[in-house]
Amino acid sequence: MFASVADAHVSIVSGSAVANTTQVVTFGVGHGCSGADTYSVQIEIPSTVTSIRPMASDFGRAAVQTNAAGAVTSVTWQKSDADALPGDTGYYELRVRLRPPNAPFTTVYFRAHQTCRSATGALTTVDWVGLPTDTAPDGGTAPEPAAALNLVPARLPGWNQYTVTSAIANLATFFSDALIVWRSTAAYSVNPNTRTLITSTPGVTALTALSPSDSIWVRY
Amino acid sequence: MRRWLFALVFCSVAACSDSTPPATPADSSVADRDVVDTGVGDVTPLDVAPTDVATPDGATPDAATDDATVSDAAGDVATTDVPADGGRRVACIDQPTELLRPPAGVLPCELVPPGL
Repeated sequence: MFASVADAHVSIVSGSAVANTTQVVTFGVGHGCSGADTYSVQIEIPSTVTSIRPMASDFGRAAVQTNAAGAVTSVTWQKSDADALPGDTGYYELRVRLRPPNAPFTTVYFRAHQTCRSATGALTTVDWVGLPTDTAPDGGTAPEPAAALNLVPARLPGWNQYTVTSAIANLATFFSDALIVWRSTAAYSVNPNTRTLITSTPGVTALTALSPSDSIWVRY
Repeated sequence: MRRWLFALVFCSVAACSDSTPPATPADSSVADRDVVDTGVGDVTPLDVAPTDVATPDGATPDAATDDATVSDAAGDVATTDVPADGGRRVACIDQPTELLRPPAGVLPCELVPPGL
């Protein structure tokens, strides 16, 4: 679906986020642009994400852009010229405290714009704005993927019961840290040993996807 | 005194080698508690599968010594065997002998009146 770029790009490296909870989310900038160091990064904030407060980083203090209502629409970090590296040798992390929407088992996408600065001072920009629904135009390539933040519901250690509100095709997206997930007599686990046990236990089937209104038990 | 030191070293080796729960949520700071997010009142223990950390042979992690051997004859020597693969294997993961089953019936938290 996405363009086949290196697996390091502007992405979220802090893992899943708890829906409707204020927390710090970390964006990782894995590489620059064709040998040039990353000079600035602008991250667009979806309207469903609130309580935005960016943190300072290797790029210095962040600047926020707002709309007429005062809501933060994007955050930008930009280095001073003196801090620009002569080559693409740095890895950067950018942190934002935010509150994602109350929509567990969904994914929020953050479009990012990465500007790089070569040793000669030339600037280039890469847009990380692709969504899973985007397709490559005829003769072209799909846009680079936007940063994806998977939202999970609040949980406590032990058994947690949830009702799923949207379809989940890939259970590993939201349950990679669960011991086991049950829907009726179907079960899923990221643990291959448990998966083997699931398929070999009489009366139990493998759970591979979830549909809206499914009631599930999750053991963390 | 030397036997006490030996016991301390042995316990440390055993604990480091096999006591880490393999699939504990990364963001769980209180993973030893079995509770359900009720939204009301206190958390409630609901663990119905106490065997979730048992090894295939039924031993508990604290008793497992597969990575450590002890020369008890000498009384004060503890050594650690090097795995056959030179220690390059991935972290040991849980090998359950039975599936964890969710609790059945009415949850204790459902008996708590709203607002309490």
